[in-house]
Amino acid sequence: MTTYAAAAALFTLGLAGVALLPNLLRKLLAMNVMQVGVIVFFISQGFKTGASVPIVPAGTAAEAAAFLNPLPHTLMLTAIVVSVSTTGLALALLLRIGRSEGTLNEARLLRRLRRPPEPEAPGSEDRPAPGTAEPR
Amino acid sequence: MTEPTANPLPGLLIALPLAGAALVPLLAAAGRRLAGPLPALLCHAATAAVAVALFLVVGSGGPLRYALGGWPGPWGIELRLDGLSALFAVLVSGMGLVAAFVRPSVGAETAEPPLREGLRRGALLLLLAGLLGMVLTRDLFNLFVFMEVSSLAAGTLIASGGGRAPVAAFRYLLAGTVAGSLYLFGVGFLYALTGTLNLDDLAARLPTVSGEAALAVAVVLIAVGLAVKAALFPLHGWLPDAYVFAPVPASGFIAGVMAKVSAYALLRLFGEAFRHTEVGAAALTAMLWLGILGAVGGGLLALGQREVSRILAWSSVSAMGAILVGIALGSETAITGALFHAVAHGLAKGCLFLGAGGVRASLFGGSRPPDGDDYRGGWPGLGERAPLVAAALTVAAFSLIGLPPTAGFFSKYLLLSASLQAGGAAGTAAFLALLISSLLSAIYLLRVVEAMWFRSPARSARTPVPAPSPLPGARPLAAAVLTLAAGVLAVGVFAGPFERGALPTWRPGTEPGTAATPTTGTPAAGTPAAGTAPTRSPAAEAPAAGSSANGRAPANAEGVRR
Repeated sequence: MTTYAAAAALFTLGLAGVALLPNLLRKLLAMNVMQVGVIVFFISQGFKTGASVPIVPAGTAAEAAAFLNPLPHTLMLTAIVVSVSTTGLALALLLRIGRSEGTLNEARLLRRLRRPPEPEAPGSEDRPAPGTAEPR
Repeated sequence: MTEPTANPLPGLLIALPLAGAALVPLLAAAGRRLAGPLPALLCHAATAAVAVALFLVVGSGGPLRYALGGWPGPWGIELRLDGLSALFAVLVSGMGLVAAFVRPSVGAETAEPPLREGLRRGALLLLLAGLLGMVLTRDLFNLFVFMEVSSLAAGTLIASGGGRAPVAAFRYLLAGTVAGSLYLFGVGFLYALTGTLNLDDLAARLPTVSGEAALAVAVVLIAVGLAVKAALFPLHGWLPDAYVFAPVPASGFIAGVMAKVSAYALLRLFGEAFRHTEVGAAALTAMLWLGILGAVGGGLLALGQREVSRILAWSSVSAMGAILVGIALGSETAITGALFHAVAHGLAKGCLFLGAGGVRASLFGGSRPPDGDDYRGGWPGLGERAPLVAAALTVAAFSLIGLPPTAGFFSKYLLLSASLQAGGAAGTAAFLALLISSLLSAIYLLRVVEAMWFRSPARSARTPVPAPSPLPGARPLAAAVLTLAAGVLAVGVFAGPFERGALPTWRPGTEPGTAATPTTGTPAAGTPAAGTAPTRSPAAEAPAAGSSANGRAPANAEGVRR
C-alpha cells in the first residue's frame, strides 16, 4: 500500500512539475519523476512478500501464489528503455535550444516562437549560434 | 462474426518501415550512390503496397491476426488487421509514400549532406513504423511502446525543421511523453484489475470489474493520455507549433495522419472495451463536449491567424474536435462519419501543408517576400504562377470547408446527420458546432483562396527579395500536392462506393471484440441507428464472453490482485 501511495505521489509531483515549472530542463526532470512513479507502480504490482522468482524446476507442481509475477517487471524494463531514449532526445534538443537562444525559460521562448516571422531562410539551422550564453 | 485467420503478413507493415528506418541512414553513410531518395522510396512503396494488398484481402476474406513470436494472445502480443485497421494502414502508409517523394530539405538553398538527408528519411520511416504499430497492435502495453516510438521519431523530424523548431519539438516531445505516462499509468490500473493487457481479453473481463473505483481511474488516465496525443481541445497546446515548424514533407505527413492515429486508438479502446462500462460512457460524454468546444474554438483561433501554416494548424484542432465528436457520439453513422472525416481531412490537410511549405519557400515561382507564409505575402498571384498547384490547393481548401463534390462535404454531411439523429442537448450542440466550424473554415480558408487567385502580388508584398535560383525539389512537391488533391476529389466523387466498400461498419452494442469487421453489404438492420449519446446498455456486455473467452485460463490474475 505504501508503495502505491509513493507511486501516486511521485506521479502527481512530476505532473505538477511539468505543468508549473518555468524552465524546460526542470520540466524534463519533472517528467522523469513522473515516469518513475509509473515504474514504481508497476513494480510494486508484481511484488509479493515471501514469494520467490518464477522459475519452476521441471516436474514439480507449481503453486502460482508462491511466485512473483514477472510480467510487470519485464514491462518496466521496456518502459525504462523508452524513458532513457526520450530523455536523451529531449536533452539533445535542450542543448541546442540553450546554445541558440541563450535561455531555457519557456515563456520567453514561446514569445520568440510566436513572434511574427522574421526573414529567416528555411534550412538555416546550421549557422553558428548568435549567443553562446550559458543555459540556465 | 468471422474469426480472424492467422497470417504473418500484417507484421510486414511494421517490419518494413522499421528495417528501412535503420538501413536508409546506413546506406546514405555508406556511399554516394546509395544515398538519395531511392532506398527510402522503395521502402515506403513496399509498405504501401502491402497495406493495399492486405486491405483487399481483409475486405474479401475477413480479418487477419498474427501472434508475434508465436505467442498467441492473451499472453503474447497480437497484431490484428480488420477493416478499421486496414483502412488506417492504407491511409498512413499512402500518406507516407506521398511525403517521401518530397526531399526533406526542400526549400533550402543549399543541398544538405547525404547522411543528414538519410537520417531525416529514416526518421520519417520510423514515424511510419510507430504509427502502423499503433494501428495494428492488440496489446495495451505494446500500444504504449509504439506511441513512444512515433513520439520520438516525430520529435526528431520536427526538430530538423530549422530556426526555432527545436523549441516546438521539445514541447511536442514533453506533451507526448506526459501523455504516454498518463496512458501507461492507466494501463497499470487495468492490469491490476483484470490481469490482462490484451484488448479482446480485457473487453471480456471488464464486466466483472465494472463497479471498481480503480477502473474509473484507469479509464480517465487512458482517456486523458490519448486525448493529449489526439489534440482534443484543452490539451492541444503542442499541435500548432509542431505542425508549423516541422520541415515541409514531414509537416504534410504529421498534419495529415499523426493525431488521427491516436484518435483511432481512442476509438479502439472505447469502442471495443470501455464504452460498455459506466465510467467509459461518462468519459465519452465528456469527450463529446470537449470535441464540440474544440471544433468551434479551433476555428475561432484559426480566424485570428495571418500565416497560412498557422491557419491550417488551428483548423486541424477544429477538425480533430469534429472527429472526436463522431467517435463520442458512437452511433454507426457517427463512427462512419468520423472515419470518413479522418480520411478526407488527412488528405486535404496533407496537401495544404505541403503546398504551404512550397509557397513559403517560393518554390512555385515568384519572389520570396519576407512574409511568405502570410496569406497576403507569398500567396497572392499563385494562381497565375502555378495554376495547377493553386487549383489543387483550392480543391483541398474546399474539402476542408465541406463544399461538394469534395470528400469533406460527405464526411461533414455524415457527422451532421449523426448528430441530428442523436438528438438531445448534446446532439444539437454537436450539430451547431459542426455547422459553425464549417462556416468559420469558409471564412479563414476563402481568404487564402481569394489571395491565390484574385490578388496581385505587387501590391501586397513588401520588400520582395528575388528568389535565388530555380530551387530543387519543386516538381516532386507539386506532384505530391496534386496527388493528394486528386485523392480528395476521387474520394468525394466516389463517396458512395468509398463509404460502402472502404469504411468498416461499426455496430455499437454488438460483440465488442469483433465489432469492427468489414461487412460487404448488409448494414446491421437490427441495431438502433443512433440511441442517445454513448449507449450504456448492459445487454451489450453479455456477448463479450462468448467471443473471446474460449480456452483462456484466467492468466495470472491470482498473483496480481492482492
